[in-house]
Amino acid sequence: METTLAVGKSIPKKESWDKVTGAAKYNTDFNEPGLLHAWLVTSLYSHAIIKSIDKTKALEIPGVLSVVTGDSMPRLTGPVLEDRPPLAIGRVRYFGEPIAIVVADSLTRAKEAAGLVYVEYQPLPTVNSVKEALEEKSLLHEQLATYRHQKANEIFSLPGTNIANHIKIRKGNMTRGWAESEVVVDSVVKLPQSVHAAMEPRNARAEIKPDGKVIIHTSTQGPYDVKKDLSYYFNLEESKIVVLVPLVGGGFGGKTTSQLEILTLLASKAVHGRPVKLVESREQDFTSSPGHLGLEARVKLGATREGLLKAIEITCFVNTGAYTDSGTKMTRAMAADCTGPYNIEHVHGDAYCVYTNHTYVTAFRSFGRLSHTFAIERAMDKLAFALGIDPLELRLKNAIKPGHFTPTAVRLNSSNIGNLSACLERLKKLINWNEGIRIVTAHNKVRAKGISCLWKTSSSPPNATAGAIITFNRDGTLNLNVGAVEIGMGIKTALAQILSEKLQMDINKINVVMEVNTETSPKHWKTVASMTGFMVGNAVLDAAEDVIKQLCRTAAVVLRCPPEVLQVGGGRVFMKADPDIFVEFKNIVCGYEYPDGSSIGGEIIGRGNFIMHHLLPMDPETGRGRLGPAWAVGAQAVEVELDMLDYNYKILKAATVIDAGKVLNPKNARGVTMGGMCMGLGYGCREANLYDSGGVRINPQFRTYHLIRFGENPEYLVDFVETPQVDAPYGMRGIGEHGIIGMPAALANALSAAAQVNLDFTPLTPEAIWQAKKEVMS
Amino acid sequence: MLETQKYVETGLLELVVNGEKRSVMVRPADLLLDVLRDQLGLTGAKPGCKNGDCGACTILVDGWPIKSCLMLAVEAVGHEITTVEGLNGTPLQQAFVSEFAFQCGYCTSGFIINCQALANIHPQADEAIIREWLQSNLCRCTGYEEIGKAILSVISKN
Amino acid sequence: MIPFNFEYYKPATAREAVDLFHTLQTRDKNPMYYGGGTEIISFSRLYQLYPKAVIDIKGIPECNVLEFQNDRLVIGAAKTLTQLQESNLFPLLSWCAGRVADHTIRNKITLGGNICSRLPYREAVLALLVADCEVVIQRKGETRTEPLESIFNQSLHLDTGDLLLQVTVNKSHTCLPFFSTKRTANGDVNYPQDRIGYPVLSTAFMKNSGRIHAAFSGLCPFPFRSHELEEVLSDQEMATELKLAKAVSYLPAPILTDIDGTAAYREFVLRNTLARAVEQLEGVNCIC
Repeated sequence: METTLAVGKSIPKKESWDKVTGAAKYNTDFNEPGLLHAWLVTSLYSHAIIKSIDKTKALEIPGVLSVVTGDSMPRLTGPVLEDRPPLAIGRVRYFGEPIAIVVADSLTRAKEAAGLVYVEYQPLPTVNSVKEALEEKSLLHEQLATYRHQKANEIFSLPGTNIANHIKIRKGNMTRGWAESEVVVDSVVKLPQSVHAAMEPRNARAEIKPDGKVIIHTSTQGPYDVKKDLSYYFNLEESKIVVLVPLVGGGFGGKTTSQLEILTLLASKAVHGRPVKLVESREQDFTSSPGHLGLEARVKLGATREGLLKAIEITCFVNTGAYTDSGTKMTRAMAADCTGPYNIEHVHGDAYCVYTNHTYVTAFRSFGRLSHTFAIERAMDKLAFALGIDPLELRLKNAIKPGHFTPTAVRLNSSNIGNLSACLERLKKLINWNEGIRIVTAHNKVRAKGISCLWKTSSSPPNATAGAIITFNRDGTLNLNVGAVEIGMGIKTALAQILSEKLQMDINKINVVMEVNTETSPKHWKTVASMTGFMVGNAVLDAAEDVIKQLCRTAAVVLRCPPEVLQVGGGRVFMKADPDIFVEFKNIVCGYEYPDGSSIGGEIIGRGNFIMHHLLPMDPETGRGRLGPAWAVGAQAVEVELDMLDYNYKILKAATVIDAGKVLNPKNARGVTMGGMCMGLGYGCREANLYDSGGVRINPQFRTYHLIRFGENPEYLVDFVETPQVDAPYGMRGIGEHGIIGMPAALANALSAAAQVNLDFTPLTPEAIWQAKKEVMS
Repeated sequence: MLETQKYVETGLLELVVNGEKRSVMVRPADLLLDVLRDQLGLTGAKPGCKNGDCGACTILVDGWPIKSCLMLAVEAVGHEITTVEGLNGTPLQQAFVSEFAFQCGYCTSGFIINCQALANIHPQADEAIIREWLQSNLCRCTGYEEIGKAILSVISKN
Repeated sequence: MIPFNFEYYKPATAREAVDLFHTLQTRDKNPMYYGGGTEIISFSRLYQLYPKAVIDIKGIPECNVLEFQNDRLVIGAAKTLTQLQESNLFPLLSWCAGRVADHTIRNKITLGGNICSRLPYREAVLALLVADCEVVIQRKGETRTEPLESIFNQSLHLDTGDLLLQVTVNKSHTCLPFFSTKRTANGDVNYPQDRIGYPVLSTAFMKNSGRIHAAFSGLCPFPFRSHELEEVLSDQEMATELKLAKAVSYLPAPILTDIDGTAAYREFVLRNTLARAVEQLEGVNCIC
């Protein structure tokens, strides 16, 4: 189909002018008289028994209405494995864990009173690393065996240890694989936990109406999950829960699961349903709310002398922190894609989800692939070195292709895998690979390049759904209402583009409902996994078909012809054979009125939906299964200039080529990709949660947890290959996360080449490189 | 003879915000950011860290960018405050729209205010000055390229 | 949001400010002089400071001076770091002050605030130390002028209630040749500032009549100038390697290890920086 009207056009975001004038409203921008304020009391210890909580002094502060503690909700929660009390019960397992909520008539008083809640702790040994967890220095969850979970095929915990989940991949025959391998490399990497650092700190407010209806205003990526969770945890009918989400100030996965929504509802319950607002400070957002996983992984990779990959053995230990949240799922996702985008016949993979006394983790842009890719791509570079083959050529030689099978035994075709080789070829030119990997440029200065491939599919439940509703205004303009949340990636505009294209109609005549209201917006699984364009986009197309059918039906009566000869475009329904015979939308969308005043037709309301298909859970013994509908693949490169005297370096260039299927909005796709790249480089060069020996977070502010700032970013080279995914809207693939995935790996590969030392960790600070060099030389 | 100004308890202040005289009830320890947002409904300035690190709450005081989370409301007496709501349809805002210089938009008010001040104070700013000024603001969504293009499109016209 | 209240005073004269301080002190108000207020606000938010009264010094005329008076540059304590940079009357001070925090915050941070900061870095002090500057202090009933070095030992030693009014620098010292560096955990910071962060090492070197003056921040838990170290650096006869080895032994406290860098790394950076400083200042003269 011709895609000329809206698809493929750089249409500015629908909410642009609201965002540049300060008119755009985020959840904390709303205030109302009578609103109460909450402040969290959080743990000062990483692991301790709570001996007592004294609220007396706090309750004496005028205006303080309640101090809510764990006894108000004596049950555990979690999106997969239910292991986390929303407020600590008798024990804390990480520094920053919420212990109590103070509710007061002003924020000042709530905060003042929070300082007067006295918690007596009895410290327990801290499990401060994966190593200490595996050594069982202390057990975090003695009751692991009794924890509930609703997905039997996802959780394989090892009670009596700190391992919450163990996922296995067994493919091919390892004995044969190693026998066929003439060169084998063994590589170990270690990556720290980090934070999402969305600019809008996490927050929520709740109230309970006199009829029992629960109203939650929140900054979330998953409003329907919040509704489902609250219904489940509080034993409420879903019809009694409304979740409202305005624009969200960044998510990156950090706003996908329920936390503050549960806490604010508890707070509101404690004050007879009055509205309560809870906004985390930046320090709380960094320590109390979930962050990004840490990973320790070992990769053993075997290949023939010609560089054909034959066998891989990979073991991943995911540091999930004190609770699992999405950690178990990310462990599984990592295992499912464990070879990286390479064709390897013999695969032995183990991924473990490990508890430590760190802040718990949740989904983070790439759902674990960022870390896992680092492990694979470092091994690939080491293999290339061992073989004496160019690293890019090695990747080209083994790039996964249609006809190959994934680690979970999904047979690939051009639609579901795209074209990695084309991405690599394009990347090679973009980054000028042929000039050489390491070039001495000046006295003590070296310029070097590193690359990484990437792939990712989603981990959506096999029954994940999306819906869309289209209504019309009397003037023929229309409204699109979907359950996708606008967190910044321009999804509402992309959906409007899809609708505009389908109806061949000016996008300015399409109004998109920006907010999500679970009472009136059709459900969408959640705005995650780069799946929203695919899922909601398909629902929008379905709704558009429905609208076209209805428009043609009414128009057929008006134009006195069968509906089949009609077509929709330009805000009109017209005869295919003679476009001069037409009726305008405005004359039929709310019913057609004959000259004598009698009418037919009625209001046109389009509805569309989409449900995932053919997804299969993974087999517990082999991992066979299908987690997502398709992959997006890509290749990335980084060019650095390293000072060999003091190990200062500059990231000169960063390049990304992704097979996007079809680029819906070029400027937006470039922007989202560059944003991911910048975030990935930040993680590669400087971001890490730091803990002292007692497990206390020592860098919970932007002042000590550094992001890349303006001007520290490299020159970006971004390009796309377009191999359509045939079951997706206009062939598009979800690429919202992908820019981040290979960046830390490419950076480490570039710096390893430059410094001529293996750098198998992040963050890659000048000191860390100096240290690694020193160790090798001594 | 000038006298010591005193604000010892909650009281009424007069501020000049976006060219208008506004009365607010404040404690001496109240921050300008909170007063702008909670009392004047000017929620364009965003709390991102309340520690002066992120720049999302940047406003102008007599034309200079200031992080309003690090300023007491009483300090603003006698000065002209401009928030993003005080800008309307400027070439800079247009440039942010056309260059896709934001995604979630949460940091945007702060960036725009800082860029506007820079364009006014150093209309011929070179890359080093632009970088020095804009380092004061964090953006977690973009990779900064688009923001750089937006400010350059305004600076280079001067 | 500051979770407690305090009283705010903005006196019009230095004498009033000091009198007010003592009055508030006797009333147990734990008063603090307030310049830009960035540290008082951010520390109070986290209960790391707890003043019951603040005395804003921005209304005091002496604190707002920034000009050459006769043969000295006079800088009021309430001048912001940005104002120092924009005027650029003392380039080395621009460099040192201009890499503190970030540009927008420097529109608020004052010179007095940076000198009296509770953070261990106080980088503006480096330029002042190497330039042999003097400080003007308002006491109850008197104004005194003293060399900065005589009362700056790890921090500025003032009696309770004393107010730092001004800093003055010999005009000829404002244009002496200098070399100044800053390294953070993420790499070097050039001037104009192109990276933000606390220093692994921040330095100011100035060359006066063949002698190198040197001050450091980030190396120890306080900024300092070391005359012994300067002696070594200025020695024309000594080989660089020996200079470096000796210099490192003249530090006033063990080298810091913190999240920005280990002591060993800081020493490595120090050696590199000293070598560069000696090389850069070789044979250069006044920049006026």
